[in-house]
Amino acid sequence: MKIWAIVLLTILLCVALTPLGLMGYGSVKPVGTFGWTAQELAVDERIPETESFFLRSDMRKFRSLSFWVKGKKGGESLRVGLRDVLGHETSIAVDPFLKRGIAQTWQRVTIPIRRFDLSSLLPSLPEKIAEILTFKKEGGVSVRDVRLRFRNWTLDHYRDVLTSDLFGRYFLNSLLIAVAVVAGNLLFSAMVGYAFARKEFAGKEVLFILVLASIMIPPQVLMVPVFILMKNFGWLNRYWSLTIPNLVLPFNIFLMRQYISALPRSLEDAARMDGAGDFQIFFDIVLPLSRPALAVVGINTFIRCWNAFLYPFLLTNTAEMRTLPVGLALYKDLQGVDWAHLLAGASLTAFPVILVFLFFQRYIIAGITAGAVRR
Amino acid sequence: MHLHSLKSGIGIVLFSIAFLLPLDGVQSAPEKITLTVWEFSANEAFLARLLERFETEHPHIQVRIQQLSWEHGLEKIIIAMAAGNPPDVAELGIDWVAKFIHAGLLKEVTQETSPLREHYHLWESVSSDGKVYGFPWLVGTRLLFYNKELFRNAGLNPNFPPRTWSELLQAARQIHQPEKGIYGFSIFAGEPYSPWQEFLPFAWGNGAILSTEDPHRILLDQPAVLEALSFYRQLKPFSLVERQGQVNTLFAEGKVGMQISGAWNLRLIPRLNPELRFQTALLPKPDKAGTAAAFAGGEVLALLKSSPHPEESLQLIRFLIEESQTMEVVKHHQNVLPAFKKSVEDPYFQSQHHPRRFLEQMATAVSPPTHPLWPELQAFITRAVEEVMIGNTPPEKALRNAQVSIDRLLAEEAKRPLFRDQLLTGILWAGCFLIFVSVLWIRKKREGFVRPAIERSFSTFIFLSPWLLTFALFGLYPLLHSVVMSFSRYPLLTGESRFLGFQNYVDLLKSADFHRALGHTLFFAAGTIPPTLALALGAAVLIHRKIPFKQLYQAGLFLPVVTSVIVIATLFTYLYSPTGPINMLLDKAGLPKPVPSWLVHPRLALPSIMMMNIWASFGYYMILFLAGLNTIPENLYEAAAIDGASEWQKFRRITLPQLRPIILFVVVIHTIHSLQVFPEVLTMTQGGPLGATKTVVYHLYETGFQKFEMGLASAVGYLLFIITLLLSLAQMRIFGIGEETSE
Repeated sequence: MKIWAIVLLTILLCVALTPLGLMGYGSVKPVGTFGWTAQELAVDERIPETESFFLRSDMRKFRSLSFWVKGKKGGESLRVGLRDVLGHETSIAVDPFLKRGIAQTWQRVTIPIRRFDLSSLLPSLPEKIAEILTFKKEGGVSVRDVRLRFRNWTLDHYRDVLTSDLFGRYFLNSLLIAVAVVAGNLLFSAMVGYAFARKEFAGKEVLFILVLASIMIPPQVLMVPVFILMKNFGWLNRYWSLTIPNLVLPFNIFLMRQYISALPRSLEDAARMDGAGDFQIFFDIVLPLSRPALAVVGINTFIRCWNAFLYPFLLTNTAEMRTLPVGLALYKDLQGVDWAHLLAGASLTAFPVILVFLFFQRYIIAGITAGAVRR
Repeated sequence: MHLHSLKSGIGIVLFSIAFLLPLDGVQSAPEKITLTVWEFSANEAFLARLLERFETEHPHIQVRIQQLSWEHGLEKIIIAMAAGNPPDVAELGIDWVAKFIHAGLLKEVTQETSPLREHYHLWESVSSDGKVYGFPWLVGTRLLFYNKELFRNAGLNPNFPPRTWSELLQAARQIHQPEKGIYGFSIFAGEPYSPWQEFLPFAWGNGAILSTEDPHRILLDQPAVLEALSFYRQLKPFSLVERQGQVNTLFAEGKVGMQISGAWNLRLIPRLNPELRFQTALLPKPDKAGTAAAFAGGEVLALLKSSPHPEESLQLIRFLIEESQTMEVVKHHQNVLPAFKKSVEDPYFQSQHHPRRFLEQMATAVSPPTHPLWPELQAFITRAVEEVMIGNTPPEKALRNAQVSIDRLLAEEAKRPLFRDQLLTGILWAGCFLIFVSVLWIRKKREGFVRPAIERSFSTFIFLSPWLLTFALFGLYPLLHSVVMSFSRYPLLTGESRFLGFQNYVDLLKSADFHRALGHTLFFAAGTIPPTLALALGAAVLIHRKIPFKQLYQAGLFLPVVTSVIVIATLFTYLYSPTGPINMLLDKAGLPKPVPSWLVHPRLALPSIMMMNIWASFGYYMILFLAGLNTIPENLYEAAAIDGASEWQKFRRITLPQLRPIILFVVVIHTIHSLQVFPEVLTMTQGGPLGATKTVVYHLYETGFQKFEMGLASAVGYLLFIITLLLSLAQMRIFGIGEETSE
């Protein structure tokens, strides 16, 4: 029986993780689509009547440049250069990569790409794209069979995302908003959920239907009025508009109400007999007993806040106010981002969520016995 | 949770609120004029550097740039305009310009543009009735991209790309080898824009003119279009029928012989496959007379009527469209071309032969008709193309259907009821008020008898106050406003609302589109809820037993939930691609692959999204169930074990009843979520193919943010709300809402 449980869960685990594994794989692959990888690139498109080749490649994807070289009498010098579309150039001498310099016989040279000063190429683009590969020759040097070898894996995509404009600021914005909203929801949704679960008051059913209604109305319907409301509050492009309205989410109220109404009443009744007040009962009994549900509230709220796109996009106007998903979405649009960058961005965004989950998950497992009734 | 950790939680809230203040946006100096520019095409930081030059030339002007995304930028512009918060200058795609002109939002600039007329492309797209409303800035067109190696392998000369339709057909036929995963040509389908943008140039090149003498009529069902569509269908047996994004990837992988694409491919291909040997060519033209027409798109800078600083805004626009600034944007971006004609002579284009060919193609490129309803009309053309390519409808019939739909839409638009009736509004409000009061009154009367005494009401109020406050401040107004919208005609662009009474609801209940969307949504809900819950509950119960590495399984199964829907949807788009992992697995197992592939197949597209949805959400509900399982006292199981109960009996008699409140919660929440399914559809299929994945919220989105009928869209939302509410109430009745576990 136990074996079966483990087998079933393991199968399920594989199904759950395979797409994510592909995601990680895609984010470190320097070149190619998912299903296809290139080993090396043959550079053979020569610019007519020059000693240069068309390249048009992101230089960071390559590990090394190699070619065959021969001189007429030996000892000549040769420089290899990379030039970008605006004419910036960087070049290095070939001699140091040959044991005895250029000789009269064909020799193969391999130059690691990191020897080039790539930072001088198009500083405004994250990819260091070289348009043209140049050979500055002296005397009768011949060069042939030029190849660029790809790297096997790279963290460049992560670096691009991390160093893209204001990534740190986006991260900080997201974090501030998420922490405030999670903290608010942990306390407030438990309070409101408790009232709905255990208290009798006028209009309880109507109010509860209102809570449910706020979840059931498609958010797209409310976009225009919410925008107008925030504009009238003067809260456009302010943190307030992204935190205060979310401090207690109806979804969490519903969850806490359901959870608290499932708790056994006996502890509360006993405490009431002992003369405990409402707040004492709430803080000393209900909250500790609700740990697993609060953990779910924490995780859920953090994920929703962290991944939220629509309202942060609508309600912010300047780059400094953007959250992570908004910043990354704009980054993606501009650079016409490929898989690798998208996936690297997604992995970076997911990382804090995983930490939050790991933090909260022990409360889910801990269960009722561990948390119960510690006064 | 302990008291002290709660206190520290509150501390964190206060701490972070204190932090929010100094980080808020910086106010500008008051004496300067501030212009706001909203744009899509250039990087914000890059454009800011460019505009520094402008600001030094005009020291009294300060420019604020707002970067928008292609996917959601338009929504933001529209909403800001509806809320009376528009920019001074906005970049607009040419397909939207007519709508903005029609709504009277753009300032006429006929005089200002007259000296520029002969130097720029795209004037037809910014003109209406002989008046001009914008400045062409950037253009884009399409070329034929072809794979030289596949040409060579098929015995074709890669230096002589097809120039005519029959040569194109011949080349596609020779290259096409589906058993090897090689496709001759590619036809776009299964999404809203690319199908018509790829097809219409064939018709234009064949002499079709869609606009007629009557400025409002669009004539699609004409011989030149029919001929083009019939030819287009001949290409189908030698083509990959897919969405544009997939075709781009497969072309880069070297599996597609020819595709029609924009300049973005020049940047994409070297990234995906730097080894690909490809070439570009002008689009083929009809064998007889005709031109090599291509789709011309473009970006326009428009001055908004509402701008308080028209003079300064004009200076800014003139600065941006100057050749040197535009060329900097073009070089930086590499996906766009300047609208300035003389730029062909720029050294950049002399050295770059692909971009130069794009500029050459501009000479015979055609832009879609300038019609305020074009965003709606294009959908019918896409539908006609998809009917022929996916649905096997004869071209004659598809075109006739499309023409009927077009005529019907235009006729409806002409006689749309536009009565402004304050009296009716008043009556409706009075009615609502009366209902509200009577409900209160009835409740009060009833409460006197039924309700138990309300004790300690003050502490109850404190407990409720967080929600009461946020709801009163932030929930109530949007709710009421949107309800009122749903009873009005509320075109977002003009912002003039007109009361319609129940017209929107009546229209919707009669609308076939809405019925279909509702059908898809209910199918989606019915198909995802049971498996998701079964998986979630099963996994939770298994994990809850004492198994080794419990935390590992728990965290692992939860992991799919962590990633945002948009990323997951993009990932699955790849999994479902014709050469993606799923098809590869099917191949290995010797099973047939669906043609057309998953997301373009009218029967499979929605189930494919459903599968993804189940994968992405069951972990979440599993966690909820685990939290619920932990409320069940262990001694119940111990007692049952003493009585000799089997595992199944324990599950039936203890676990299920004890979990009831959580199960109810999960069922209700998941029902709500699946009835509101939207971002998946937007990212993966945009409602296609043939409308097979149009869900209610997608319909809402289309109505509100693409056709700008926010009133009708709100009515869609509220109809969905009513359906959701009824379903949830039924579920609550079944599972028993008020019931608590027996003790």
